[in-house]
Amino acid sequence: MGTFPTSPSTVSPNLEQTETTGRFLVLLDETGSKEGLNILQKSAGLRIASTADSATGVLDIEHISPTDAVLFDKLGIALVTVAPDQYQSLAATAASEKTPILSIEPERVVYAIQEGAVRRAAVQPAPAAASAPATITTEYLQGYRDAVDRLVDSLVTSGRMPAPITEEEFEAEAQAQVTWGLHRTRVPRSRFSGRGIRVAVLDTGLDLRHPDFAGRSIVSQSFVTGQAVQDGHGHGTHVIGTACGPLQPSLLPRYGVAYNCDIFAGKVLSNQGSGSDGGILAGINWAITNKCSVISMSLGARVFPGQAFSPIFENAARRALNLGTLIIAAAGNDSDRRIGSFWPVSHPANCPSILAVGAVDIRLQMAYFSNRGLDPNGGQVDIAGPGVNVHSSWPMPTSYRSISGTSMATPHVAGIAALIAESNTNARGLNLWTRLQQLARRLPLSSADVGAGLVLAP
Amino acid sequence: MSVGSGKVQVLVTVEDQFSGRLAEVADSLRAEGLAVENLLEALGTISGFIEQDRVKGLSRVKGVAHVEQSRQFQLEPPDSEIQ
Repeated sequence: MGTFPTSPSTVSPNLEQTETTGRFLVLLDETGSKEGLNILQKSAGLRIASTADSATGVLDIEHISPTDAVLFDKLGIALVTVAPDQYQSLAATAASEKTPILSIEPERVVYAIQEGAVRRAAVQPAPAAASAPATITTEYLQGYRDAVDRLVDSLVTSGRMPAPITEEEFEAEAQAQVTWGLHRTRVPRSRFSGRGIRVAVLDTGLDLRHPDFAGRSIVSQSFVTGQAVQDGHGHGTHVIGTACGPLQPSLLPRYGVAYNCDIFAGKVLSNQGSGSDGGILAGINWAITNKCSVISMSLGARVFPGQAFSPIFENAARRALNLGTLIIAAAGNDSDRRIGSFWPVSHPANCPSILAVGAVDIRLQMAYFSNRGLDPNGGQVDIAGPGVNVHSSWPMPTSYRSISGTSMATPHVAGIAALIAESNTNARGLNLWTRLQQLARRLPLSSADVGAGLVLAP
Repeated sequence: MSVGSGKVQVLVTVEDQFSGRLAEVADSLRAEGLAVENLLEALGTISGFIEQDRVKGLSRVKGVAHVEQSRQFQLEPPDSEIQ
């Protein structure tokens, strides 16, 4: 990131090619709008008109004197007309460390982007030049939204927001105390722990005698006839470990995400690793009835290209979302990218209302086995998580094991979903889904493989 | 799951307006030969077992939206490196 300008007030380098209006956009921080206005008034001598003073939230820009500034109070953005010397003064203010003025940049001329613009142009020529609209319309604000996006992008590279992890940081933290998966997803930096959030993991059960789960809130239920919740396979103990494991395990490194969440261990797969749709649906029904905000399902059945998703599971997942429960499932391990073999997202992760998780490795490259979003109707990969050489709990006396799979990526996402749910009581169901994708770190990989990118802790 | 010879596990989702009347739909399904296993109230879904050749008849029951045969899932063995 060293090639990017470090000053937040730096004007975008391709300014010469961009048509601007002569006015400037000033971005104020979330808390300091008032203070920011004072600075604008004092240092630049501006009079301020605010959309907050208008009942409709709309101001007539053409009737505002050139020496004024307009504050869009909901956006925390002021639009100002300043002389070159005033601009220098504001830019200097923006560059200083403790200021509510985060950035200043030229207002660009924004044209509408229309679908099928070429076809329409034949009928109705596009305007040669856009003058500033007379009133602030939705379209105008959308233009500002785009400008804000660019501002945020510039802030991210300017160091005002958390920078991507460097390799040195990575090595230091990973060698010390946490798994690479937790480190890469920024779990140790999060102040959330899943407290008060119920997380259901539907799998082969849990080793209830594992010391790392001693003293935890655990509700368990077996949906496998004739078998207790006690995990006779290991898979369930491993994935519950990743989603819900402790802050301080009996042996480092830390491997669990939501260490204070309430664990709901539903056994839907037998000690022999087998199960059926009926048992899984019974588990989902149980988790919803118990008001679990998150259901983690590291399971799947192979789907052939073009095969439709299950309406039964889609119905279940849709109802779950409406009741505030997000179902997160593994995209599946059927592919072998080393030989160019790609399989679509497994059942039931291929349902539109189930969040499908692909797997990446420590270098954030695709896991060779991770399935691809080949079926356009719901069969996308929605997000990616750490899924190669994942260290987590295993039934005693083994204690710990490192294995790979989209099964291992899924509970990373489920645990982080619990952290987000704790951070915001509105983050439930579809809102939680959206928040997970918004927070995700974009990766230079195909969205067909990783969806929105690597899951990140709030 | 104990499955009788020739019987398959099926899942039946009811139409939204029948969500609160799962027991009623289950009775109709029994009349079509379904051995009802579970009423999954939160999902508006009923699971059960039925002779393979009678599965199609379930779709005609009033209030039924979808009928599917239950799929099987199989994890890799515990000692597998990829799970």
